Amino acid sequence: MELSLGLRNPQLFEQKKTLIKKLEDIDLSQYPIHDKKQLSLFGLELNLVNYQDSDFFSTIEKFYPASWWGEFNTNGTQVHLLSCEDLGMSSDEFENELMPDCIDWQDEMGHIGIQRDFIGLNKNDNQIIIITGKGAGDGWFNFLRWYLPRQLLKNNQVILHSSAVVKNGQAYVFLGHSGAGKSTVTELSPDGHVLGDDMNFVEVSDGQLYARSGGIGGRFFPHADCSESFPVKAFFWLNQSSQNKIYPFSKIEGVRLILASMTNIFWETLEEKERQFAFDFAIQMNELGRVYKLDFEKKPTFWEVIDDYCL
Amino acid sequence: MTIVYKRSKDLPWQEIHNEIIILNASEGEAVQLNETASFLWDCLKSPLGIEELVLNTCDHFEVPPDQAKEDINIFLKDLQSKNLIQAVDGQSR
Repeated sequence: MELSLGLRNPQLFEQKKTLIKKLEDIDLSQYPIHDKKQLSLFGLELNLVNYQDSDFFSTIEKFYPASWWGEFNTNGTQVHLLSCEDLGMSSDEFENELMPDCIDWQDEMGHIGIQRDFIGLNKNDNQIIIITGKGAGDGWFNFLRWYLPRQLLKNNQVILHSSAVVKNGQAYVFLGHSGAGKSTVTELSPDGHVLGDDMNFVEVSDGQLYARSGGIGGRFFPHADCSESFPVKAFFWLNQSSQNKIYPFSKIEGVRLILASMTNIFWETLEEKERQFAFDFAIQMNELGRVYKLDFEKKPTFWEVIDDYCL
Repeated sequence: MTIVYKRSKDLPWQEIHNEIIILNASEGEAVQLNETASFLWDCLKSPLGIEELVLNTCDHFEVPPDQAKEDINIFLKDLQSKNLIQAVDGQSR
């Protein structure tokens, strides 16, 4: 399997693979622990062991509700947070890659992800080691974008590459390729509050779709509380245009677009059972929430066609 | 050797309103089939050769064999290039 396709710095990729090998039987007790905390992330209990500097937790704390932080529990899933500098590589050297995509595979060591600013090894869902540049920068969020989607799928939750705006207590979820205007529509929504402009969670609960803020990157919206979810009004596939127009996609097209928006599922390395589950979940989402094509011009007036059509 | 075509293994797919959507995991994308292609996909629930596919299609859509064969060849080529179906030796079916 060709894993390094698209990399600008394949030599660095090889170095990172060597670091991964070292993680197989690494003795973590040789690194001093700064602090430990539990982060209950969307219901997943992650017990974080911080070997990095003491600022790591204070940097990421604001992204999650205070109630999600708790006492470290040695029995749950442990996430070991190492810095590349602990392993003899400077942060500049570690992040010297322009390709933004995550490369993901499964081997005898476990599930592995490598991106420009993190390395992740999920040994068995109970022991996870991540290496980032020094400090909690994008490496932490990219780790979550790699790790969370598959875990959350087990709880009927997906992360959609989307922006989401809440109006009158309901979430309007905007989908589209990069550059389609997901962030733009959030800036053109004076009457709503934004959950997120890049990644949002969508879940099924009691036969209803709900959306909530992802807290895993994109612009940070301090008022968006990750613990609060909102019923999904509909999904809108964005297309910038000189006029505002809306029409529903067929059911099958809706499924295709939801599948295309499911973030970092890494279909190829997903086990067959999980793959089928994710596929069925997309079909279920499409049954519960209609997907519309939204041609929009860059003015808040696009809300008028949404309101006219969806009310 | 007689060539027959069969669906690749472990592909999640679903019929929605008479059309088929297949998850092509190796490409990370979903492939949507039109009505004719959906019919052919249904035929391939067991391996079939091109002549059998032509017969079934002519029966179902009432089209002449030449036209059916042309469409079927396009379908087979397209799905083979996406690894959604495979051509195998008919003896081993």
